Amino acid sequence: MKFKGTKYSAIGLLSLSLLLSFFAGRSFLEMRNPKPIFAGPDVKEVKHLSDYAPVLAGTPEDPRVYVMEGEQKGGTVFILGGTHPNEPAGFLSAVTIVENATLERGRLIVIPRANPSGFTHTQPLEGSPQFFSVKTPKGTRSFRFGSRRTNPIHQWPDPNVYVNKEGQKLAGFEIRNLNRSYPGDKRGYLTEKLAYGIMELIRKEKPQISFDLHESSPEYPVTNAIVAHEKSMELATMAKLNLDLLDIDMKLESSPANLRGISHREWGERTTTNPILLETPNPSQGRLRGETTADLIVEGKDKYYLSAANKGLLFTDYTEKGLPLELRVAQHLQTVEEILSVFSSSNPEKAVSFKKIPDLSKLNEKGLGPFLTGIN
Amino acid sequence: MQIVYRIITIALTILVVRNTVEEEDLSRQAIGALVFIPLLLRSLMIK
Ligand SMILES: [Zn+2]
Repeated sequence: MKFKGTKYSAIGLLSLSLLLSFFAGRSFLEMRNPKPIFAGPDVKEVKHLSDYAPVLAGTPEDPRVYVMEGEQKGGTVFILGGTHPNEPAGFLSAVTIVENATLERGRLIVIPRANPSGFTHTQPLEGSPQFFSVKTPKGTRSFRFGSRRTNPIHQWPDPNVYVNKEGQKLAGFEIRNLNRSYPGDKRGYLTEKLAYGIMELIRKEKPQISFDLHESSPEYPVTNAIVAHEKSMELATMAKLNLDLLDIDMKLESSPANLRGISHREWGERTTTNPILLETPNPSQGRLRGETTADLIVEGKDKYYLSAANKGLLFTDYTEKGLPLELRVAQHLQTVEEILSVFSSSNPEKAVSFKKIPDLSKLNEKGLGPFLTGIN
Repeated sequence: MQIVYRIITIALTILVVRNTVEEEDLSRQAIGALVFIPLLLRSLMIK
């Protein structure tokens, strides 16, 4: 039997899909609104990257820059979080610093959302949730889970092969990966302009040390790692010894000299800064994971990772306790703190030191919530 | 470039809406209306 359509049924069906489109579209566009980050006690100025590179003004790639200053003069340190918006501990570590840390000496320049466009979408075919949330004493606070790359709405189409400014040949989609686009190009693709902007910030602010905070899959060899350029290797080695005493396992990896376009290589080659990239293990990003839920992002518990760990296939310790976000943030913050203290003791006139920072002991004791209440 | 996509999307949307109204088979009308959703989402996505 055949149902007959009339003009009225057509209009009815179209109105129904219009209604569905309205709600779907509204939920979709919600992804575009950046969640607030609150300036903490030592934030003296909130700028934009376009203040350093005017070419970024008015584009979707103009991240906020938080300038923090301590009581006493000292050196300058740069912290970049959110290069890859699907690596939440890198982003949240930067947010935790901006909202909580106080400085004794020196200046700290922090960008929590290095690639703002990457925070406006999730990666296709990954089944990622749009949001995850952290319980705080003042209620639940939600954060965006984004994509490793710039939103194709902002930069499209991709070539078949991306040859970056250093001649490195990469898969075409890597043209939207900030951490393959250094040193960037003022007149290049949007992501290259962003990379250029970050280089400009480093050139103008001349930080002694620059951190790029990341996460990686638990089955990837470069996890629980400090990746250092030759210039920063001594610093990283000393800090690693201190971290060993705290039972934080961070391996040392040297930045490969022939892999070009990456922060720890290009920042080191082209500026006076000492680049350091940190990696913590993130099960919500790995290939072995099961269902990708907001809980997996926050608690890091996954039965497939557990069975991989029992077979000795992971490059990190993994138990049924999972890999909670607060531990991964603690690992980042403690490593930053150790590297700054090693640097400050050998360069007292350029010292940058924290008065207060939620480090391993505090995060172990209280969890992440009390440091993300949004009000200081 | 994006303005070209926006024009194409709007044109396709109009085409789908017209075909849906003209189609006399109810199931085809329903499919036409469903096709309309991604087209509309696509035009929402483009700034
Ligand atoms: Zn990364």
